[in-house]
Amino acid sequence: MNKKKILVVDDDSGIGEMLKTLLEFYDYDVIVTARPEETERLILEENIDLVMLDMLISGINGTDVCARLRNNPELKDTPVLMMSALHDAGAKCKEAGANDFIAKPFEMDDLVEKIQSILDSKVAN
Amino acid sequence: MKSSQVPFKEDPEQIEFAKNILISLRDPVVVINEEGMILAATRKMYEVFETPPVTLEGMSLLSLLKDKKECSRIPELLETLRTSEEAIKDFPVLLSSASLKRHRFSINANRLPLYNQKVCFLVCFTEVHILPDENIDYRKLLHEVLSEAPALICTLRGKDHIFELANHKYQDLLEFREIIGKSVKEVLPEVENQGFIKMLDGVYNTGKAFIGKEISLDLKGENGGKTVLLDFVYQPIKDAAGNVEGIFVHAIDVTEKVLNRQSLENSEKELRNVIDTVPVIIWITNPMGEGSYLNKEWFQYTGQTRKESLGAGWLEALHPEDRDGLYKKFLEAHREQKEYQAKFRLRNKNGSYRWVVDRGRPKWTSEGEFEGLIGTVTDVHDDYLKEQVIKENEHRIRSIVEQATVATAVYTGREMTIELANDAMIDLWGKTREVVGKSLREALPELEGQPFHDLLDKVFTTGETYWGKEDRVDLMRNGSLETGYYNFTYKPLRNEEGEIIGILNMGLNVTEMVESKTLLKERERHFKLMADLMPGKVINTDASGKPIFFNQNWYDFVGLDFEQLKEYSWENFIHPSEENEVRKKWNHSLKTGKTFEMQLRLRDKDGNYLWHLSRNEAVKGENGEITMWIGISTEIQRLKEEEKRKEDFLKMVSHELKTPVTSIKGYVQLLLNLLEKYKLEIPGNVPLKPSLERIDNQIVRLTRLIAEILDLSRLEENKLELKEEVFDLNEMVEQTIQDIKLTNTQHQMEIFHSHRARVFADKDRIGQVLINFITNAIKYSPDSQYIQIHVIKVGSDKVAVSVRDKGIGIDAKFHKNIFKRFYRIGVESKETYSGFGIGLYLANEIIERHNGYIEVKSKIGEGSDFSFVLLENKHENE
Repeated sequence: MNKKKILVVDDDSGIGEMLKTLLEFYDYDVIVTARPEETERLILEENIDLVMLDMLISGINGTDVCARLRNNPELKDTPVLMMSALHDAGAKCKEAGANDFIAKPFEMDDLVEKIQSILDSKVAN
Repeated sequence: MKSSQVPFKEDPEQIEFAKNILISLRDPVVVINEEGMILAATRKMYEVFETPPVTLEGMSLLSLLKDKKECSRIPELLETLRTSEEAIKDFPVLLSSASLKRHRFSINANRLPLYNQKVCFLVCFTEVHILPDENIDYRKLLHEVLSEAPALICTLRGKDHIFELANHKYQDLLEFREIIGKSVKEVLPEVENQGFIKMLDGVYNTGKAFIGKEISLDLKGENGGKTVLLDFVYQPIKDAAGNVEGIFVHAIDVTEKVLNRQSLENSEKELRNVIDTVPVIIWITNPMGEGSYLNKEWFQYTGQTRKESLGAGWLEALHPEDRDGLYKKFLEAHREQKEYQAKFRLRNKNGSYRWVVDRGRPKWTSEGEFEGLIGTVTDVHDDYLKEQVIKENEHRIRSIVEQATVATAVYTGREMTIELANDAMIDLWGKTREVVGKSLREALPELEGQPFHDLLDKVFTTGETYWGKEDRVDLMRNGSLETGYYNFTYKPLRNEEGEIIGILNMGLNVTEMVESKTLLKERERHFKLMADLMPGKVINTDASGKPIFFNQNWYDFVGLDFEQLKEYSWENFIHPSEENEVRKKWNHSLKTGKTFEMQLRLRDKDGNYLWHLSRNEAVKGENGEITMWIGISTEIQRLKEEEKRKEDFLKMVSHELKTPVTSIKGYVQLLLNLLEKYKLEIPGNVPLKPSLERIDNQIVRLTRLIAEILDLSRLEENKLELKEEVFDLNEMVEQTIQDIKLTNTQHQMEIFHSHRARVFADKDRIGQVLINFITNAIKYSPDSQYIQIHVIKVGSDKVAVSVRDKGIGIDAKFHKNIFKRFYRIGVESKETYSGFGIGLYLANEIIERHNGYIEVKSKIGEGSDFSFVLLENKHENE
């Protein structure tokens, strides 16, 4: 079974690096970008299975990026897990089309569980 | 004559003188000597004793008088003269002369001493009375008497009634007819058919007298004849044997008397007729007060019969209550013979009592004797009733005026005499009752110089009522000039002819009202000034929200005046983003009376929207009804900008802080996982795993602190703004729990929807409260993973969301404190509970702002039950 490939979109390189290290430990392929405008291109080029999208990326709203994906016929089914340091942002993110939301800082187990659950449901569909 | 014996011979001249004196005396006087011889006599002596003038001298007085009868006392007289020294006075003697006359004389005699020791006597006869003498010719005397009698007298002799004798009067009646010696038939042929002859025959034949009364006798005469009325007696004249010789006729002419009486009777009859026909009751009484006469009108009026009215019977027609008093008065008038007047109720024939006036005056005979009273009774019922009504009205008006609380006075005449003033008016003037009767000028001198005298005079002359409204009047009250304000009227009073006779003055002291009005105006001015000076924009609306006042700041801000602003509606200045919410909230407030509070943007005259904090509060009446709203909008643009910056900054800080924390936490967990996965053996006693776990826990605490910093700052800025909307509470709970489950997979949370409700509230904030409750439940339940969430109905219109855990619980004594700011329960546990202690404070704040409340049920060791209660929204369309 191929490793699942996750795209982390977060302008904070610390978070990106941490998630890459962490998720690779859990046997995922991880690509990190700090530039949200690259999201669509990377999804297509890198054959991404799931996008981890931060809500606030240096002035650009993560929810806008998510909505953009949902409005793109090619990318609308891309699983998106949004994350934010604002613990009450879940509703907004789901409104924007995210499959799920996780507040920063997160428990590693919770994160992995959410990722796996999204991926599992994708497979089931 | 024996002149030698005359005692005056010594002086013949003196004797002659004395004789001449004697002769000239008018009474019969003689001078006699001691022997009773006549020495001299007066001429009257000769006359009385009917003797020739020469024969007396030398005659004895006795012999002179002896010729006369009854001279028996003369010797006694002479003896007395001789023996007594004294004069004789009034010695009565009765003498008869040659004629039929009998004379009674009173003799006075005096002793006259003479020079030769002798005396003579002067004897004076004074005639006293003439009495008929037995020897008098009675027939002649009778004739004389009859001749002079005022009656008509005649005697008739024989069966043919021959006139034997008739007096002058009788002769006068028959004028020039020759009657003596003729029969009645001859003399008076015209009376034959008048029955007189029969009457005379009757008397002559029967010997019984006949008395005729007011019998008319028609006589023929040269001038047409006449009729006389006679009262007469035919008296038979009988001889010694008792046979009728003739008839003595004695008649009195009563023609005039009868005519007089008849005319009197006629006039009385006429008077009675008059009296009976006048429509007035007339009565006449006798001196005793007994009714002697009542006219027809009485009987017609009362329906009494003449019999019923007799005596005091007329009293029966009076009202029983009036009877005794009237009768007393009536009798008193008779007793005192004075005028009398009374008013009483008289029963008319229909049985109803009517008021009448009874007036009586004493009646006197021509001799001045009291005859009784004559009086009239007049029906005055209608007038009396009218008068009573008028009196009653007047009395009523007077008493109304007297008792009225409205000060009332009546002035009469142009000089404004105080005719009437009730207590309220006297009190208003600050005077005493003594002013009544005085002129207004006199009673209230302080009015001089004030306009009222002129006003009154104008009313009096023009007849136009004057209404004073809040007129200032300065009155001298309690010794000082007091200024007051009065509402009053000067109303002209007119008599029946429409002439103005006075003025009615009614007044009301409105000083307090005027003063409070002034005060109110002053306050209003103050309020307006205050409102204008306030930095905020003040609006005042009625209960329905219609503006009635804006302060100057509003006009300055929007550049419109009141009318324009009212017309344009202040709501049009609200930023479109807030407009709907403002309307919704404002309508809600208008409906419920709840205070409206909101931050909103208002457009100024240059088109810029500036943030304002608007707060509209209902002003309620005594019964809790809304009377108006007062709203103040304070510009908070700078504050808002400041806040925004601050929040942005805090958000940034919080975000920025969380980012490294997330990294740290990630690595710590990675390390922990690595330790777990590879079972790395750490040399010695290095506590690698516990240390990493500690770091992990501290990161959790740090994360919460960072989150709370943001909330705290919001709270401190009082920026807990509610964005209320109607939403499904059950759905909201469901969603919030889902969110929490995303970050917390350890705890099992179960929701029980025993009630479904919608609420009008800030959805995010209510969610925040629920999160707070659940976070606490998780935090304080280290050994239990089971949490229940219930949605329950409370009362009829409320809904509660309850969060129950099986955690450590809270002692009841701390239940109150847990909602205090920064309060944290000291727990004797190794476990550290992080946070600033503002969670429940914040939750409580939010729920209270929604007019709800929070309930806590908890026991140490048994867990806690936190629930918040909100009003259900039943107005679906708000």
